[in-house]
Amino acid sequence: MADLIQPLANGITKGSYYALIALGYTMVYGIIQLINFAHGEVYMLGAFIGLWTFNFGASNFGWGTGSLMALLVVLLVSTLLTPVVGMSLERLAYRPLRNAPRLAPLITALGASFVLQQLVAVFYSRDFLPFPRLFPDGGFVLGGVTIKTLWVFMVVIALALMGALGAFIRGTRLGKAMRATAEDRDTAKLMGIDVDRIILLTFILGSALAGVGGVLTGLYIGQVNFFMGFIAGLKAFTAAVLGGIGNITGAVFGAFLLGILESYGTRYLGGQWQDVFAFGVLILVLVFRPTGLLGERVSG
Amino acid sequence: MEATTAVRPERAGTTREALARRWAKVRLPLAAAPIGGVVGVVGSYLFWTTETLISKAQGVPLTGDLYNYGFGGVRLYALPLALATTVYGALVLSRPSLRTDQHGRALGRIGLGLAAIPVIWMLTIVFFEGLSISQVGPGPWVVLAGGVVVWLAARSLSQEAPAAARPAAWERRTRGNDLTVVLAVELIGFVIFVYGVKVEDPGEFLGYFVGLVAAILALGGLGVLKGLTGPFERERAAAIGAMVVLLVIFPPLQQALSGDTFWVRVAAQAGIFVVAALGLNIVVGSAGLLDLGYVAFFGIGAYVAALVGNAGLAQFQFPHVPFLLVLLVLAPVVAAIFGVLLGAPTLRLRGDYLAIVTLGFGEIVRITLNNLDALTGGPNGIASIPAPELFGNSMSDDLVIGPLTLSGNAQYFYLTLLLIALVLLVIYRLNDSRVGRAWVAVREDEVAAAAMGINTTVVKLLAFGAGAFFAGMAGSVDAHFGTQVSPDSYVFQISVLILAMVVLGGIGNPPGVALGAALLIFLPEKLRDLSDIRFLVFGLALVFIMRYRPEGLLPSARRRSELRAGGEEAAAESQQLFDVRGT
Repeated sequence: MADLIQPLANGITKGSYYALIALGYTMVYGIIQLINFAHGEVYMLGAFIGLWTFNFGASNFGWGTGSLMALLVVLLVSTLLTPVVGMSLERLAYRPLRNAPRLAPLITALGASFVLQQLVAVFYSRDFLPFPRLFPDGGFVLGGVTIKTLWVFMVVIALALMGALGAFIRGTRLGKAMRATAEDRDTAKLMGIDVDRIILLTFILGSALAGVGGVLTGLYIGQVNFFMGFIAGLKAFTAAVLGGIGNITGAVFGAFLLGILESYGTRYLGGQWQDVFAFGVLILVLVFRPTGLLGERVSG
Repeated sequence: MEATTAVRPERAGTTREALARRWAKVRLPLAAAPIGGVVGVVGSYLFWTTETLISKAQGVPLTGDLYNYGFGGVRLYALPLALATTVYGALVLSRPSLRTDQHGRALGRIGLGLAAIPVIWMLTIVFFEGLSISQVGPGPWVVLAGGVVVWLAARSLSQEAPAAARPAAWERRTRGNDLTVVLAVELIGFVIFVYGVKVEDPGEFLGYFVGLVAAILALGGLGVLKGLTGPFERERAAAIGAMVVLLVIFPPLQQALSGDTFWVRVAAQAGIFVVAALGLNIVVGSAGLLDLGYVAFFGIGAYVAALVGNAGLAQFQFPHVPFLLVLLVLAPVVAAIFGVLLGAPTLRLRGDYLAIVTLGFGEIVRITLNNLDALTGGPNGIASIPAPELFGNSMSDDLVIGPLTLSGNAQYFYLTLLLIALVLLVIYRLNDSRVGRAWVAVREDEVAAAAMGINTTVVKLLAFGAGAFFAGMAGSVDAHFGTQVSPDSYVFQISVLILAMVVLGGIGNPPGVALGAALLIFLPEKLRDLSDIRFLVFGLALVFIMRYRPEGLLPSARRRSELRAGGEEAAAESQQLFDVRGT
């Protein structure tokens, strides 16, 4: 019995950071119908910014592992700096191509993803780097299922952020402007909404969430690498499509579902097929239900 | 308060316009142009470093003898640009009839090229050779100053004089003129190429390449490149014939010049990628579908060839199949079957979903190859694949034809030339067929195409299958050429590399795609000291091309108008519709 439930716990934990990344994909797609390939790289940079912040703190203020203060600062810096990356992407790469044929921004996004990846690889490191264990080790056993406190922390943070995002989009004027822009950009413009600023805001929100996701992944897996954004980005996109792209609830739902499916897949098929399994799910979903499980609702 | 953040007039635009207006006035008097040129000549003579530079990768001086006065090393390529700006600047200064927009642009581009050589050189030695900026001699700074002076002086020209249209003598349409132009251009291009292959030192090559780009841009500024399209179109047969002759004499010529066949091998590798890129061009260029897992079909072709190729180190081997059969039928057909299997369920989706699905498929194929140890040898792959036998001769042995001895690499090169010819023939015939027109229709407006009775799924599937077919063909050659296959060779980066070839050369235009493929194979080989940043440069290239030249280096006329005018018209239209606030 415990054997059956253990993958569920792992899957929910994984789902929490998939969800944080997937939200960025789904919001950007909802608003400008662009697959922002570079979003996975924003997430990767989030993890690296966390690492750099910790290294800086460790050498200047004597931070050690297991320090909750350090963890808070690392999370905060990452959340504040990743939006800068996202904004630069939108401003420098995507906005000039707003009226270009669809292939053009897609190829640009791919190029931008390569550039970010390689900037880290060339100017920092190509190796797997250990990520500091900022969260105290420990956990408990519940009916034979091991649950680490870190996992609980991750899921709680992720859910809290998603709740805040949902409240922001549903409850504020800016959120309303976002929904209007996603619904019909031209009409939103006619209603006096500064569409470019709203798009920028979307990138900021998505990148901040991805930054948190990056740090959490670093804590969860214990190492970071310049290439980590590629697979994670793909899976988060899979999650977004699974739930119905453009649909925020759907992205969260899809992410947890994918995390859980993947954990069971790994458990019963073997770890080497883990990624095949995820992409297989993506292809199946697109074949049988191209609009996702919850359907494409725009930024709702 | 919230309302003001969401709804605000665009103030940023006006400050930017003010800045642009001020920037437009920054210029120097025309007389500064020849002076800048002379400064550049002086800078080419001064020493460029205070140290001997040792290249990390090859253990040879990166940029020749640069710590003495003289014209050696990379300076050799700054010198002609400096001399050109001196003479050109003096000419423009002395003849009022030359003071046109066009000449200003051309002169400015040469000046920028002159400035770019020392800048790129300095970046290279600081980032990749570990020198500090203080170890740079006065030379680069002086050349940089000279180049900037020329550029600023040229700006004054481009704004004062009106453009004058004047048909050049060689533009007159006579058959003799056309033929001379075509042959001369191809011969000059060939000499430039062979010379570039001969420049061994990576630092020097960088200077050579920058100088060449500046010269080409300057000619483009004068409208010469556009003028060339006429003769090339009218004398297409002669142009193709001459090209074939030049390509055929390249291997023996190269071998005679350098004594080895390394660059012939690179050329053969480039040929393999030209075939693959032409295949991807059908998918991306003709049908407008973005395939990001294209390398999977390349890999499938390679594994098929390896599994039936008598490989020495393999977990499993199928009975041997003659190479020609593998090359022309088995590998491409298997790859195409996989293409159709993937395409059939997914091609009904929107275009951008397809991109991500193909990406996922590429990963699935790679991971599967990695995991099916019993069949594919797992991570080790299949090694010791012997050279194929063609007409009783193994392609790794020298082939003696009369006085001529062809090395194995040369044979591979000729094989890829034949394949390219075949692929081009098929592609041009396809493009002119009903299917080709359907591809264009689907690319430009899928709904309208469907309304005209085109079965869009079948048409897209055909494009997908055709692309996979040629990828499989290229892959089967690659397996024998590289003598081994492993999952690591068919990674996502290679998909992006092939896509970059298509985009750089010119989406939809086969000659452009071939040029893009050749450039992206040769340049990294020439600049191996910089191989670390290869993918960084590819990424930047994709971004910049899409931004500034979406039609690529050699655009097809049709795509150019689509990508340029289409975007501008749409932009203008939306401006008219929505820009009602300011008035």
